[in-house]
Amino acid sequence: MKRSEIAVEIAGVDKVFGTGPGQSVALDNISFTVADNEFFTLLGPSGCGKTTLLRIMAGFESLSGGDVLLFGTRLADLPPNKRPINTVFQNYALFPHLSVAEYIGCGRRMLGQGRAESEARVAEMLRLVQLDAMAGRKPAQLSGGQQQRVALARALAPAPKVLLLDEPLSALDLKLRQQMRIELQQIQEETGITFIFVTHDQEEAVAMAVRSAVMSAGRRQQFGSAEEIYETPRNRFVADFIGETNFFEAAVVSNTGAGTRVRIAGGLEVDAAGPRPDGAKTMISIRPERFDLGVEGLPCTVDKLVYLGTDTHYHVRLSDGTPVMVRAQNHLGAAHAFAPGDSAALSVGPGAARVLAD
Amino acid sequence: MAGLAESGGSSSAFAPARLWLMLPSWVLIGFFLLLPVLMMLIYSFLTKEFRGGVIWEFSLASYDKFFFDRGLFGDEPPRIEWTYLGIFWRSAWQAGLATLLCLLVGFPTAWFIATRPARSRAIWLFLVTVPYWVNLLIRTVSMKFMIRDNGPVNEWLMALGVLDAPITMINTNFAVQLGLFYSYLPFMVLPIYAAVERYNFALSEAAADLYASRWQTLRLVVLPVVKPGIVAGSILVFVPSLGAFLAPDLLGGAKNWMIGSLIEDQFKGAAGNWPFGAAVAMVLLSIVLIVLFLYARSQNRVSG
Ligand SMILES: Nc1ncnc2c1ncn2[C@@H]1O[C@H](COP(=O)(O)OP(=O)(O)OP(=O)(O)O)[C@@H](O)[C@H]1O
Ligand SMILES: [Mg+2]
Repeated sequence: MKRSEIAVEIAGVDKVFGTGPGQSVALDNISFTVADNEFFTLLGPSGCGKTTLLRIMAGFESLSGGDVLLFGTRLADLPPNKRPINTVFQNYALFPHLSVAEYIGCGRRMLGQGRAESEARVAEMLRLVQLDAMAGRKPAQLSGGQQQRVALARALAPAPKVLLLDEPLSALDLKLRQQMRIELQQIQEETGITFIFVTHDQEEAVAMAVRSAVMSAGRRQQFGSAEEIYETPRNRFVADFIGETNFFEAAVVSNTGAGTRVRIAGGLEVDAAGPRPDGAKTMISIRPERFDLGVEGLPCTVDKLVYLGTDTHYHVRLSDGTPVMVRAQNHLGAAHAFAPGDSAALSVGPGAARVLAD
Repeated sequence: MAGLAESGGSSSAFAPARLWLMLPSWVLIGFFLLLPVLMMLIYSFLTKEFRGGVIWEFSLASYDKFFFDRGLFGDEPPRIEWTYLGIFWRSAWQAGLATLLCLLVGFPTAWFIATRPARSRAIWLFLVTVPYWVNLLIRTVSMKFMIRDNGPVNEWLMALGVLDAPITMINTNFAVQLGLFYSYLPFMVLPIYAAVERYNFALSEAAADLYASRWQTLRLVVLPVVKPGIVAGSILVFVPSLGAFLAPDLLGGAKNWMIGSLIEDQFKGAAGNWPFGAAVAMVLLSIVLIVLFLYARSQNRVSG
């Protein structure tokens, strides 16, 4: 077995735009590593600096601090056209004067490959993104989704060491997007190219990646496997951004070796995992699916329910008015246990509650 | 297929309204362009009147004079007349060179202006147009003053020790070239500026991403994309240079005539020959139209 090598290392990267009073910090001490052959996602809300970070890796933006290493080599001194990295640009950047096939062949030709060889590669790429019929068209004659697929094909064609994908599926309809996700994962496995996939769609990030970095406002919030990020969010931002959750102000009851016991609204006492809170108060998160809605436990009233096929969302209210979201799996033939207006009771199993650091 | 890309919302519901908007332009063009050109066309087929003016009698004499040499008394077998074709050739050559010079200087200038911050661009553009607030005749005369044998340019060069004796610049092809270049440079800068300003610099990044060097990026991406601006600028410089008469007249002297001077001369004073002047103008117009037509057709072929 090959030792998993580090393909890209982002080491304390800072990026400041502008100078003086008008300056803005786009990236603040970002660090993470991406292993070779990995499918990595970079996740964060709009404006958090994802594109800026990709542009730094590709060489279009200078560093204000820190370093970017590719297989151990500093990239800072290498101009963009010398980096074995390709980008699927967020705004496609197709050449208006080149046909789809010419554009896809561009990278290989620049690298000095012959016409016949590059044409074979172009045909392969066209099949991959299902644009065989569009080979001769100009970008202006393509739909947004087709343009996005051209951008993808042209970045894959030169077979780079690292592929940076800046929200490459955002313009596709749901069905095509799901299909392309699977295609991308397959391509990644087959080619062994390291993918750094940027998205603001947490579902997409969780579905595709082995590991992710979550960013917000230019800072790295968490770094790890999708499961880690979902199950053990470090802070309120991550818990909120990845999936849905309920936040509770909690009073610390005991803080012993075994764990933290806290009391939340309505007097419910739960054991919470995660970092030890310092003071007498803390913030905890409980995922909607970790609640059980039944007849025993904390009394509550059902406000509203939303049927979602595989499961049902209940919006319930505790006796003191605190709203709580509960998600229950639907079982074949079983009617919804509760209707709006019904009284019910909430309970949580062990390990459901999580203490948030900040 | 080309139409699909370019036709920017030509909804037929608004077409009649648009035609009305065009009316003033049509009237102007009709009265001051089409009608005079038609008159020239007719004049070119009339007979010359000796004190200037024309006799209303059909004649091919003007075109014959342009293309054929039949000897001093007009009774020899026709040979090709090289005098006027030579002037045409020199004009085309001068205009072509002026276009090339304007392009070489205008492109970097336009690029420089278009890549300034939005606020300072207006100032740079203003500076480009400042010399054009002065009448072309005055500018050409002042250039004549500057480059004459004992003019300031020669004096400075001698004062600096670059020259021992004044060099002759006036009444040379060089002077004509300088005049054309200076007269029409903004016509090159402005359209290219407009094209570069619209250029999406993300395309240059995409080219670098595809391993293109800076030179390859310029050649394979930038130039093709801003080509419409380059072509527009080249036409705007080449066509008026071809027919220019101030620069060749004032700076080139009698030996460096261009088409414009030839035509102008035919309409001056008693020695003029109106039908011949009209015929030369028609030949010039035909050449320009043929070139533009060929260009338009090649463009259609490329994008279609
Ligand atoms: N050239 C620039 N000059 C100044 N500020 C910039 C520049 N480019 C980006 N920024 C700022 O840096 C921050 C990060 O921008 P970036 O484009 O990286 O966000 P993003 O995470 O890619 O967002 P999105 O999901 O919307 O694409 C934003 O606040 C943006 O306004
Ligand atoms: Mg972005």
